[in-house]
Formats: sequence, C-alpha cells, structure tokens
Amino acid sequence: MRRDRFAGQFRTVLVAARQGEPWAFERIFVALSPVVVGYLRLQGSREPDDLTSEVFLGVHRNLSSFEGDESEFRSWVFTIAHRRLLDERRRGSRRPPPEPLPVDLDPAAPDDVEDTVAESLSIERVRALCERLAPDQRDVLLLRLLGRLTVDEVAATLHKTPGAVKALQRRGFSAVGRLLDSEGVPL
Amino acid sequence: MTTTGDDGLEMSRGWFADLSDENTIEAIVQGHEVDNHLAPLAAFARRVQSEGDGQAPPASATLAALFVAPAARPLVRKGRRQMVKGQLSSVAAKVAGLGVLAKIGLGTSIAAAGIASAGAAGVLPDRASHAVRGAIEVVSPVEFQEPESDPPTEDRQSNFGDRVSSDATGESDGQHGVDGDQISDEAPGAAHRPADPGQGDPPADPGQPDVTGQDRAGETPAGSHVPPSTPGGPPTSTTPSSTVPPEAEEHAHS
Repeated sequence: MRRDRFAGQFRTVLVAARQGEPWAFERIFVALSPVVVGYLRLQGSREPDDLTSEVFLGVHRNLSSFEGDESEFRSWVFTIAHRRLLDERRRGSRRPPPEPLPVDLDPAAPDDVEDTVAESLSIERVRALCERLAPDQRDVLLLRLLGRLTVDEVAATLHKTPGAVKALQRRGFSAVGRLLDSEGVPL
Repeated sequence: MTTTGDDGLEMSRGWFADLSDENTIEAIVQGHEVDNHLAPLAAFARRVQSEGDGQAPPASATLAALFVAPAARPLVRKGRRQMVKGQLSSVAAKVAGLGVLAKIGLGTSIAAAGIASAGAAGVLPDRASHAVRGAIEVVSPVEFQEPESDPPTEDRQSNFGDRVSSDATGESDGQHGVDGDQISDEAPGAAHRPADPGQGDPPADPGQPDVTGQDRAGETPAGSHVPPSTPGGPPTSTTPSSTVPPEAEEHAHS
C-alpha cells in the first residue's frame, strides 16, 4: 500500500511533464491511473477506462496550474476524477441495480478469520458491498482507501468539513460490517 | 447496552464501539494490525486497496498521443493554419451536435445571407438583383442607387476626362493651365454651345459712364414721384471728388 508511486522522483517528473516531455506525463499516468480506474470502477462508473483517460487529459490540460507535493498532487488528481465521475452520472448513465450478495461464505475459524475473509471477498463482492453503501459513505471510504487521501484532503475534495468526513467514514465502516455480518461473516 | 438509531444494531456489538476510536479506523485504513474481531473490516479495506494495484488501463487515442509526441506547450503559439484548422474542426463539431431543425435553420440562414450578399454586390441577374436589393432596403437602412441602364450620351461620355488638353499641360503654348475661354469639344454640353460664345447678345454694361439709376428712375412704377433733378446732382464718377477737399486732392496728385 505505498503512497509514493514515483520512487522519490515526483518533483523531477512533474517539472518534465510541465515542460511537455512525453515520458514524464506517461510516468504520471502509469503511476496513478491504476488507483484512479479502481476508484471509478468501485464507484460504479460504466466506462471506467474511458473515464480514466478523460481524467488524465484534464490533468494534462491543467498541469501548469498545479503547485504542491506528491500527496497534494494525488489529492488533486482524485478531485478531478471525482468531478468526472459526477459529470458521467449527470450525463445520464445509470448504475445497474445492485445484485444480491453471494452467500457462499463458510464460517471461518477465529484464528485465521482475516485471511479467510480476504480470500472470500472477491472483487465482485466488494463492488456489490460498495453499491449498497450510501453515496456519501462510499465516496469517503473509497477516497480514503484507494485514493489514500487524508481526512482533510477528502474533506477538501468533497467540500465537507473534516468532522463530517470522520462521521461518514465511521458510519461507512459500520455499514460494511453490518452487511458482512448479515452475510455470515463473523465480526 | 442496546441503543436504537442508525447504528443501533451495531451498538450492541463490541466492534462498533471500537470504530468510535479514530485510531482504530486509521489502523484499518493504513493496513495496520487490528483486533481479531475487526479482521473482516480490515480484509475489506485491503481488498478495496488492491483494486489500485493493477496495471494501468488502456489509454484513449487522444491521451496516448500525448505519450509519444512532444506535447504542445501552453505558451507556444499555434500557426495560423493550425488555428484555422482547429477553429473549423470546432465549428464542424458544434454543427454536428445540432438537432435536425437547428441544422435546417442554420442552412437557410447561410443561404439567405449568400443571396443577399450576391444581390448587394450586383452579380445576380437584373430582375433577381432588383428584388434582393428591394428586400434589403425594406429590412435595413441601406439604400442602393439604381444602376444606369442608358448608354452613354454625348454629354456623358464614358471616357470623359481621360485626355488632357495640350493647352492645359502647356505643350501648345508653353504655359500650364487653360489660359483662354476655349472649351474642349469633348466637354459636357458641347453640342449645345454656340460656335462662338463671344458673338451672342452682349449683356448691358453696368459700368456705362454717364448713365445712372437716377436717370432711369422715371421708368419705374414710382417714376411719377421722381423729382426732375436731385439737389446735388448725380455723381458723375465712382470717386465723389466733390467730397474731397481741394488741398487733399492736390496732395494726392503731388
């Protein structure tokens, strides 16, 4: 779960990208597009790959206006990604109705519960769990977990107060726990 | 203790109380070790985070182009051809995005503007041009002069002014400018001029000596009231010498 995806060379890469060096912008795309597309996918985007390209085209267009370090750059990219996601939803793309969660989980022994649950939680199941979360809770949890943003950065991205973000992440984790519990995963 | 509310069910469980602790949530988010009863939430968090560990998605054609070609720098000025091409592409894209009715309206407007321009320029046939100009004059303050349909006459020769008299240029007499009362035969109205302008009836000479208005006053409607002579007598010249003192006149002659 590394937050530094530029191996300590973020500043060099950013300066080169601003100067129009193709390799530098490609480096930015390779470093951050996996988390961006994962965020968009778990948010239920219909075309996450295409939307990711739109996000990085926006990054390229506005690269000259960015000032900050890698953490701030990451937050800035996710802000763009979240806005593009809202644009896509406004364009009328409808999320498919949530599918019922599979109930093929076997109760696990107390000593290896985390590994067992992790293996059982397929990505489809995780997506289905995210679908069932309230939108605000889902935004906060995904920005914190996938975007690796701090509470303050999430608050800035979603135009909320840090206190509201903390409350939403607590309720979001509670909802996930309740859903897992109802499906037979011991908590 | 069991409470009610949004999280009432979870309040009955120990793990919910743990979530009230910010450090516990941070431990889940950061992937740190947590209590065993929170393991499912930690597993969920790890699974979500693993969604970002894959390969980069395929880039769109537009985005991929930025990876292989030097990107246009914001401060680099585009060439005129590039700008025109870009503007045309932008206009074409906007037109393509219009609805059917909007396209029909746009086409009609362009056609009307073209016809109006052609009519104003006078390149349409006479009848069509007249109609278009009339329409323009109705809807706008613009007024067009009627084209001259009559052929050039003697008085409006089309080449009038092309040739300059040798008298005017000084070739004939070595003196620039027309120095007489001769009028060119090519000048307008030449056909209506007498052969010798100087041979006509001479106008009365207003400067005839010895004849004054006073002498002809009897010819006016008020002639019966004219006295036979004025007290001082009529002036005999333009210089009223009678008003000049004799000494002054002498001084002037000397």
